[in-house]
Amino acid sequence: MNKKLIALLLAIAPSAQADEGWRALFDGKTLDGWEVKSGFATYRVEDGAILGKTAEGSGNTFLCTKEQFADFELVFEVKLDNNELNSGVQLRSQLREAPYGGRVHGPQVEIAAGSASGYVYGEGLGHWLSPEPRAKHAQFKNGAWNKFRVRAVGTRIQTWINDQPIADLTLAADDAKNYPKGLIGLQVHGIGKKPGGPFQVRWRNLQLRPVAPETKKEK
Amino acid sequence: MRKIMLWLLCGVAGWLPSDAAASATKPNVLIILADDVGYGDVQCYNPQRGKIPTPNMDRLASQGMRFTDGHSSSGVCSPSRYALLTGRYHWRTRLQTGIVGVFGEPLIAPERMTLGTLAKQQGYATACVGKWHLGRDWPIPENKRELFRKPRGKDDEGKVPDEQRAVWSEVFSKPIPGGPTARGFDEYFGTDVPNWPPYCFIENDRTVGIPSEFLPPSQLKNHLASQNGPALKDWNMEKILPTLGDRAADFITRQAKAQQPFLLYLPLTSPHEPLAVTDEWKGKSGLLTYADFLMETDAVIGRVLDALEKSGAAAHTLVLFTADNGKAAYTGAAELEKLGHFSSGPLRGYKTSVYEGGHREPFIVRWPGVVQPGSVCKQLVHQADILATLAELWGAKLPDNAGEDSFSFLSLLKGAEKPTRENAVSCAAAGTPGLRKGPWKLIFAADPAAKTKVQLYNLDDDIGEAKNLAAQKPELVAEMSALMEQLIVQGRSTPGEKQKNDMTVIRYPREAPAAPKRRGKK
Repeated sequence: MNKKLIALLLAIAPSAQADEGWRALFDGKTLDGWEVKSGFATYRVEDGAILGKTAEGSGNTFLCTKEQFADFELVFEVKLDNNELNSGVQLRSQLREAPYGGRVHGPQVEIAAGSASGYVYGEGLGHWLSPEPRAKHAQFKNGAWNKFRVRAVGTRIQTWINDQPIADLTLAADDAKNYPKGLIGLQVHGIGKKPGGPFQVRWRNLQLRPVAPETKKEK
Repeated sequence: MRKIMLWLLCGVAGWLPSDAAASATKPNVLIILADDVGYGDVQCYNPQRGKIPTPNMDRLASQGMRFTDGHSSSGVCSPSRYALLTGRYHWRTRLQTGIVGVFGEPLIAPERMTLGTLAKQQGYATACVGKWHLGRDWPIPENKRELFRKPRGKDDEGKVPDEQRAVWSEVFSKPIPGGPTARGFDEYFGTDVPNWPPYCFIENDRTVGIPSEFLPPSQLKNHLASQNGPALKDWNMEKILPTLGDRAADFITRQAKAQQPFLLYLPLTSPHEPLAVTDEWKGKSGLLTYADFLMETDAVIGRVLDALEKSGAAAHTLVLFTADNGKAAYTGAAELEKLGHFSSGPLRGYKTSVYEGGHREPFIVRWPGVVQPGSVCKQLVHQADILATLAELWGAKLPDNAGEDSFSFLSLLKGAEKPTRENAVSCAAAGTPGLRKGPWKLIFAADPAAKTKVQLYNLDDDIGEAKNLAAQKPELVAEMSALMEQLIVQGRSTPGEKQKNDMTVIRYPREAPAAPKRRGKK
């Protein structure tokens, strides 16, 4: 009990970030608060980062927060060890019944070597939520850490990579209705029968700050 | 402000580490599967008529729970392994009879859930060390398959022509997809089938070294290799078992230091052929080579359990020991009986049989803090049940298309006595099914002596299956026959959505010699 209390106090002790309402989704040491869904790619902590690694035969896999979030700002850093690997971060996502804890679906901020990073894909929906055509950009640095910022408030989703704005979209009515809040999930894409692998992706400094919805009506 | 504070507190509380809870729900898992061990081969299962010392298996039983009615899916190798890893009866697949052939294709479909894939999703480090025998996508071109088997009768002509060696070299330089690392195991080390080619170790998806020779004739006698083919130069079959023990111990030692729990599936190659006993164990039993090899197998199990103890992980590791099928009659069962050792104990039949000696197996679970040491459980359990048992203890829900024949026996491990499955199917190597329902067993094969189309035994009164009651109990025969048909057409035995079998399941007793629609490759 005492231990719990101390941990609680420590966790809410004032820090620069706590002052601004930011909280760490990942403690830098353990995957407490997270669970793997949809597939059996693996996640572990290495050097203060979450390392996701493909597994032969697995479909798309997501390391998901157990908690759900609605309106927020999210920042994280991500690095693709292998350009072959597709990845992404789910926002406000849901689970439908399927093997391996359920299939994750919902808005995904794309992470990929090349110019699609930062745009928003409808995971499990089979189409992009970001309007086509998506402007090409060169903000994502292959093989290096990239700073992502995501703002999801009401029906609007905005993304930045390394401080440059990438996507700014308003969710279609159906998507807004289906995905008002949900889990945050870190994707390791399935690799099917592709030769090579395993491929890896890393995330670190995942921080989230709740943002009040812009209109009271939305609540 | 107050509301935000509350929200923050709740959020943070949800983030607290829960180590204590984790060790109860995420124990390490070690599954040891011996190859061709009879119910009566383990001393504690056969105190009167077992003459082969098995101190390590007995110790495991004294520290855990010994199931006396535990079954494999078949009286033979590959089908039992399929059911153990997938929680689904093998006869729902292409493998209606027999085993996966030499250089055969994968039996487990790529998308099927296995112990490995589920454990990985649960955050486990997974490894398979030992004999796979569930097929792989061997990169052997169809028109060159002949070059990978040596015709029988030519075993004395040991030379490999250069062009044949070149083909081997090309093939064995490639990765071999579709094996254990493609079915949920992070790591693999072992021999695919130790008495078949290729005669070499395989690590993950590659052979260790390039096989370049045929085995010398001396290696094909006395229940060593049963099929000549590509072999490493100076391949030493006596090294297989000790090496597997070393690799298993290494994995445990390494993984025990990690934060991540582990699942190790350890399908030992012994005491199956090659009966390659090391000098240390030759003659130790005073009986036969098989008995020496069983003793050596027991010692390797002891070595692995010692490594687990030393690693500090034993207290939070669930260890399960069982075997794929009964002892083979052709490695000296009758001679052993003359020497006073009865490998099947009180049971009828040996390996390949639909009678209990074929598939009722030693089945021991040790799980410190949960399983009562020295306990005995008489309930019916099946190797297919391991998947659902682990899923239950992990709090994972099995989807409708996984573990179709898997019933969790977690409650039995915790000391409950209520049956966890009402029926079970185990088959002969040739395919004939035996259906259990409570104490009753219906074998779907005729009994010429009693002139019945099927055989019915009450195992409570007649464990040796000597008194066929089919003629006396026609209603029960009809009821159980209907149950078998239902198990087939539902595609599952557990509650859930109806599933498809992979092919039309052969029905028994076979009325006429009709060929199945599709046959597994033999």
